[in-house]
Amino acid sequence: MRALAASALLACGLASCGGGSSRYTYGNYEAQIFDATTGFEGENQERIGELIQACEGTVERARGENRQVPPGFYVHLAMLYALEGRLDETAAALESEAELYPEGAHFATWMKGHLGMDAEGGR
Amino acid sequence: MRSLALLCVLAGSLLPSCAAPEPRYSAAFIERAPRSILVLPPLDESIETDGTYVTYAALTRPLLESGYYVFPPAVVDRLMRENGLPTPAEMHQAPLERLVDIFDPDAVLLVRITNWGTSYEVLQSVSRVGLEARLIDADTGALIWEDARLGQQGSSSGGGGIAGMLAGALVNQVVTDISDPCEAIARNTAKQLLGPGSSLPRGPYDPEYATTFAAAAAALDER
Repeated sequence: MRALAASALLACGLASCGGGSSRYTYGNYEAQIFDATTGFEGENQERIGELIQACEGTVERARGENRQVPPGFYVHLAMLYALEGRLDETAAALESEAELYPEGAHFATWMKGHLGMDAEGGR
Repeated sequence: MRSLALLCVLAGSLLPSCAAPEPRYSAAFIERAPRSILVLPPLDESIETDGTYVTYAALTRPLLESGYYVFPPAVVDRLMRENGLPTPAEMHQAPLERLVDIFDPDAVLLVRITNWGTSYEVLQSVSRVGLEARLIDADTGALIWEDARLGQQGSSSGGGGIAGMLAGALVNQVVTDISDPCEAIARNTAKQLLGPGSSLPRGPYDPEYATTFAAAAAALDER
């Protein structure tokens, strides 16, 4: 409950400074980070589904605005997909991250290995 | 050294027109030219413990706006916990080689929450959030940048003499029960500490990276 109130606040905070000339289309990334670190103890599937939908909406919006989602965003989305067992989409999101941001390529590859996907670099 | 830094920061905020401040980054920062930053969940050294994950979420956007690649915090946190490091204190002790193995970051950002809370006095309340940040070269462990900020906000008492001031303190206390003012202060403090215009040089995704980085290197050479 408290976490929910806090994430609502975070969302408000982001909305109020959303008009500026930000570098990326963030969507509710900051609130998502808070939720995903504190909000779904016990793997609340419904909540994870909502977070995924919000992320997918942000990706769409970024496309419409001809901008990018921020570094790390696709890996965050990949984690949410993995928690739902949607492994094809997990792999696709990890590949999007690596294509968009070479600094994240090593970690994207590691994640694939970690999740038991076909990739070198995992252990 | 650290208290001196804090003093400078405080003086700087009081005297906005003072001379160019001493660079907070080292020659090793220029040499490393970090592109990617792994942020670990902050250590909370304040008495209250609500601040850790609010602050962790708030650190990301300023760093991204400064032009850095930032590893996704929720994924970082989850992986650390899955690997037997359940608390920020333990995560801060993780061997760098292991972090490089998994994430391959150029630099690791370690943040301490030195202050988090609201103190109530008779006629007003003051909320404070203090953050100290240290950026470490992921390969050598060398400190390559550090800075600190103390953000604070007092209740406004409004007009109406003593009665009005008392009402102001009361209203503020009631509101505080619903939403912790420290959350907004933490976001603002994180922005001042790490965002564009902070003492952290711009990263590679900033359009003016080349010129600002060259200027940062030159500023160091002059000393």
